[in-house]
Amino acid sequence: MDLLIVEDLVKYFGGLYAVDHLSFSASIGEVVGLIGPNGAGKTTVFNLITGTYPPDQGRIVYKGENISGLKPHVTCRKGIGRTFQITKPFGSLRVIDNVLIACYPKSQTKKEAQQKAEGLLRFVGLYEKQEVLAKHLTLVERKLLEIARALASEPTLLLLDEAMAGLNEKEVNDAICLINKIADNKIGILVIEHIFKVITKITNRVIVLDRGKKIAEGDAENVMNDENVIKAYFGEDYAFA
Amino acid sequence: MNVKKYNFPVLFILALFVLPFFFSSPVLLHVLILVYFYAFLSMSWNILGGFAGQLSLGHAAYTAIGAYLSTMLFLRWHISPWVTMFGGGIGASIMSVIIGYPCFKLRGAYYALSTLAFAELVRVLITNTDSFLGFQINAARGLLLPVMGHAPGYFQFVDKQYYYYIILSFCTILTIILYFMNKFRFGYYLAAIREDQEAAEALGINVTWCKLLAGIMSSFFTGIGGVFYAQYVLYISAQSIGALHISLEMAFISIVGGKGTIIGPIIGAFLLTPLAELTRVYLAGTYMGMHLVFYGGVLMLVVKFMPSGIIHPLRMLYEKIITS
Repeated sequence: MDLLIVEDLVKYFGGLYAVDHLSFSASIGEVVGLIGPNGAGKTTVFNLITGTYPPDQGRIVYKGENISGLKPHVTCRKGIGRTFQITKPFGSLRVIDNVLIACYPKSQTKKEAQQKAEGLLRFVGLYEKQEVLAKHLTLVERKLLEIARALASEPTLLLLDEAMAGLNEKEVNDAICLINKIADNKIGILVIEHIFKVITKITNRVIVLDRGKKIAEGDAENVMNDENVIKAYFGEDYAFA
Repeated sequence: MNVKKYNFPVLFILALFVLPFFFSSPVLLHVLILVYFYAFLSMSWNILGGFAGQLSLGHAAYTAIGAYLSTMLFLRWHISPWVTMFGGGIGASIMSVIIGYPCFKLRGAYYALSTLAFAELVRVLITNTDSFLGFQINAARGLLLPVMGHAPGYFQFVDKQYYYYIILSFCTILTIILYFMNKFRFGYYLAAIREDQEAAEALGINVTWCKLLAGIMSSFFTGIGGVFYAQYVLYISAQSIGALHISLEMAFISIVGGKGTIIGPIIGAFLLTPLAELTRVYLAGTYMGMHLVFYGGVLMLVVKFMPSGIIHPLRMLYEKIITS
């Protein structure tokens, strides 16, 4: 059964179609890449799935249930975790408290939440930094903190929004290992990413968006050679180069 | 858990409790009662304004509703203010839901301005209403409470010491409540909302509900503060208890002391309230409202040099002392 089905999704801001009649699906055990030029509507798709905005048209079905229009805190409790492209740490709180807060909604007691939080920090490799204030973290540490917080909601569907933008070569490799560790047969992952290497290494399938429309879908290699995709990224002139 | 860390605050509170045995000058007690009164109001304000990060400039509406509600019930049916105190708090909480539900959709300055407008609305309504649902509220003339002499059952005392102990106990109880709130789920959720609302939502926190609950708690205690004022001064009017400067003082004291901390408003009240009283005593004859000018000055200095309040340098100093 498909974990997530997006049907004929539409979202416009004023007269601009950010997402234009988009349909796709993702199942458990799959890592689906969402790529496209800047402004293609990738982050808007995430915001629609999590419920930051209600869709103007279309349906989002998660585990067989229509979740379109539900608020973010509800979709999160249903098991949709996300990270933000621009990281949003709780700056003046300690790293451990950042994750503790994220663990609380799924925990009965503080002790339980604390144990989960410590486990997650070990998993992403921030255990030594737990007493540091989140605003003092480096970029890569902030990205890891985002991932730890998203995992705290025990997601079945994880949405990673450019989790590796701005990282150097080694950090990217570490992050790929981390995502491969997260990806197993119990979870479906959607990733927005610009780094080609990451896309080829972690995704099973890629969906390419341009101006809110799906222009190609398939495995990474094939999609990259698709005529429409080359046009979208480089313009008409490069199409048959 | 560091026990030593709590020694000083506990000793400090004990010292305040025994203070009237040694110094019973009414002037000193009066100033301290005002300090505790403003500390109590600011701590209440701080639940919403500091911990949850929603800068409210309309808390005078809650003191006014608390004070008026208890006084109206007392004048009409002679119900003891000890009982109606809770009615005043609940009335203020209901008002906070009415104000909060539409306003919490707004952020930052827009939220602050709309709370301010609501509070002014309450003040103007009281100032222009002579009787409400059969209760006499005397419009701009205000309500005078009958002087009953020493009547502990009716929250009236001849001696200031009693008021001193009552408001000091209120402060202590609220401090303990806030301490436990901060240690558990709700405190953490409020911190998340204060830091980044969007991230808090994405982590499964029902932001609207948490803000409403913070508003209910905050206004409940503010309403109780209003009842204390009514019983202490025995005269209330929209100008004295519902005016803008009451809202501003709650916010100023918290911001200067350190908003979003338990001790901050207490430090702020100890610093600003005596200052206000002194300026009132020495300058009120010639310059009305001079204490607000001083507040403004102190506020500017604090925001410029200690943006997170006086508490932070003090806390660092304190931690240095106890660890050395």
